[in-house]
Amino acid sequence: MRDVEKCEIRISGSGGQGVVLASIIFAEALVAEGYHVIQTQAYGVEARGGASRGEVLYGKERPNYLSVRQPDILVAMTQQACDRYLPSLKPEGTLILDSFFVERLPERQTGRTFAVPLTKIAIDELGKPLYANIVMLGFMNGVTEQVAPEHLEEAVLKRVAPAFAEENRRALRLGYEKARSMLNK
Amino acid sequence: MSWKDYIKQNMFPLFTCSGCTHGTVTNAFVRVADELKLDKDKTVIVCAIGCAGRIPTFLDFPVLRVTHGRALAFATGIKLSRPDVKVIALMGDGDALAIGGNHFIHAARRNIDITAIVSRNEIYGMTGGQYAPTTPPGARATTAPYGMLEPAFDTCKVAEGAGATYVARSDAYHVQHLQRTLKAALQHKGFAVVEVLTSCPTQFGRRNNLADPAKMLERIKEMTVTKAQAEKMTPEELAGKFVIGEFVNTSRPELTDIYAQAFAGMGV
Amino acid sequence: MSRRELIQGNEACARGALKAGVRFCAGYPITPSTDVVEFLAQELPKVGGRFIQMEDEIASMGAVLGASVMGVKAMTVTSGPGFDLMQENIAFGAMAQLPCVVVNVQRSGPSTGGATLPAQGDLIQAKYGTSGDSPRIVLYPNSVEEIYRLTVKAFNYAEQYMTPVILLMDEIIGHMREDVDLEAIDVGEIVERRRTNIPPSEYRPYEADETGIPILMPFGSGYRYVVQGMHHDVYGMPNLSAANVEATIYQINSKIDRHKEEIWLWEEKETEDADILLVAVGCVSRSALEVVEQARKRGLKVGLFRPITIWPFPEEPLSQVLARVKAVIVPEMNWGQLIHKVKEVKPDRVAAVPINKYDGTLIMPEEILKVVEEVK
Repeated sequence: MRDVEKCEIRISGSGGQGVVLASIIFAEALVAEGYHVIQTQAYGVEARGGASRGEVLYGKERPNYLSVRQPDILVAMTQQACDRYLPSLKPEGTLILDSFFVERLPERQTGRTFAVPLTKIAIDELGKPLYANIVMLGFMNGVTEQVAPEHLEEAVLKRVAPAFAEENRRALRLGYEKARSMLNK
Repeated sequence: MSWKDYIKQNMFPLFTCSGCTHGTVTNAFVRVADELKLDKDKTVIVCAIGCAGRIPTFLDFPVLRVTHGRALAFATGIKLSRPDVKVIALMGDGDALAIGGNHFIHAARRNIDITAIVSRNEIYGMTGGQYAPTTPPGARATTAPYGMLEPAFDTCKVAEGAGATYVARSDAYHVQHLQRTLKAALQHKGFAVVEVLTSCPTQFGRRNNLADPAKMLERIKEMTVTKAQAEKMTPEELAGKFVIGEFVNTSRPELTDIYAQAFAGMGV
Repeated sequence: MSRRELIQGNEACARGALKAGVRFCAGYPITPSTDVVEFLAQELPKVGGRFIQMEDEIASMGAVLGASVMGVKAMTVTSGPGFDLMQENIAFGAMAQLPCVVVNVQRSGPSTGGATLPAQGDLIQAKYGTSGDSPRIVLYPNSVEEIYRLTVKAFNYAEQYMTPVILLMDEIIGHMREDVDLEAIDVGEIVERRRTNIPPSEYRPYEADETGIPILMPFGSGYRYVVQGMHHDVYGMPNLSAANVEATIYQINSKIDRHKEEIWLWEEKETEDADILLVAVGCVSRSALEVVEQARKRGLKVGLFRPITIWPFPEEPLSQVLARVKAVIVPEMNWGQLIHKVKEVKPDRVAAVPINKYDGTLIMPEEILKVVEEVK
């Protein structure tokens, strides 16, 4: 795995897409990886459908401040989230877009931009859009390699209903493989 | 033991005005306490503000006298944290039904094992004669100089509607009936409400041609009818009357028992 | 092998309460505090405790004090609007000298404000929200780990000083998660309520001993007396004589004053040679810590003084630091509250510069650093 001094991640979308949960899961995987981690969130006005985001700050030292300023990694799962948060992304940062919802791709190209139909993969392969956040986690880790895949899987299984463990494992794998195949192109 | 062991004799007489019948309720209560041999160290009295709320500090029990209207909220914390202790709330009508109305209905809904005795003198006495949610329409109060414009609460119907499992009414004139009623209520398991009609010659009587304490007691006698009498009366004849007697005496699971059952085998 | 777990601030609060021995919680749902009561509703039955959701915050506070008078460690948890409703009964607790813990996870106010937005608007209210003069101990954590420690501390102080203790939290700190190993934290001694073996016939509950703090025997333990919010004598009986009223007010306030040095908690960072001092609490102090690090890298002598006990305010420790600095900057997420105490304490020659942010977002390090550059 990459050795990271300090990193900020912002996962944005709308309520109901599981972006906050995704940030918690990833944060737990980072703790397992040995990092000091802070996870925060912002909710939209409504529990469902409003703008929503989960954030993770981590490093070898305990981060002082509590809010992501300039993310190293930005995930946008809606057009609104993409438009709103793209300006905050570091110039060399990684941008991951769910192209199922983000139709207007940004003009600004960062160091690494990945447009992936995360929600479409979830619907086509797993029958439900609600796995999109887990597909995204697999994808994000596939392109950034921040945590060992087994740490991420453990973190996912800790937070989802046991009855759906297999679907979530598959979601994670689908995302991860998609990332590897895109990187190899 | 005698009834005198349930009061702080050195504190008497009470601070109440002459002709006030809150003392009659206190008297009936300590006699029943003695009859039932209530364990003073396994009983907590909760009361709050107003004339009826202050009198209980003269009782020789552990007494928690709280903020206006909140006796039943505090009582809920006492009972839930120590279910083995008997909890009795002594309140006035403004205390229990106006500022404390929300706690009154929720204590009834929960059927928590608390005996709530509500003295209905139809006025705010301690603050000097303002109207209560029990002041009869047309009656004068300092804040109802043109007569009471609002209808009054029927405490027993409120209690019954909210789920109390013992509901009765008595009054300060029929003292034997009052003692019997308090005794039944104190022996009931669950949320028990007794409304007691009392008289305030100083604040209610003076403004309503009833300054004479005897006249006020006469009034209680005239406006109360038994359940048996009430059954033979027309709605017109019953207007302005108060039926005395038991309205509800039933049983359903009590809150602290439900907790104990739900968590049996859990923890310590 | 470290057993560090990712734990939410609100959960750390509930777990700290359990560590301290809480056995009763009454609450009413209000964002952003609800996680705490949800956790306790789940866990209290397992340790023989009780949780109840009351009809409102007034009733919650009442029920908590009802449990306290029975000798049970009790708490409630709320946020701004609910904290408003609790004030009357908090004052009752202070007057009747009943211990309990009240957690206020602050949100943006006034009124409904913003339920999920962070703000630090209740600092003054936490001490002065009630009528009359009554003492208040208020603790203010800035990390998940510290929430755990200070929740235990809050119960300890409550039982030791026989008074309600407020744990004031920020929405950000309550909702965020950090990696901590709670099991490994040494919280020290757990304080239990003092008892006496004076026979009931000679017992005078409100007569304080040499500590200035009364010993209130739990109701139902053979001691019969009156606990009330009215001015009362040593037996708890109503008494409005001038001498007695004075004695009551003196007792409830002086017992905190005379023990304030034991109650004060604060943190200093790089204050020894600081020219510019930052004074900040809670989530803002985390940004301020970052500023101290960054400023030092730029050669600026910046330090941080963080009150952890905010009431009684640690006046003397702060004034010692202020005597050495040239300027003090007070960033806070409100219209200006903490700065009043700082101004009270600072020497005239030291400029006090406020940074007030009330848009429902955290004060970021850059915002403070900009002011540092202006002030230097």
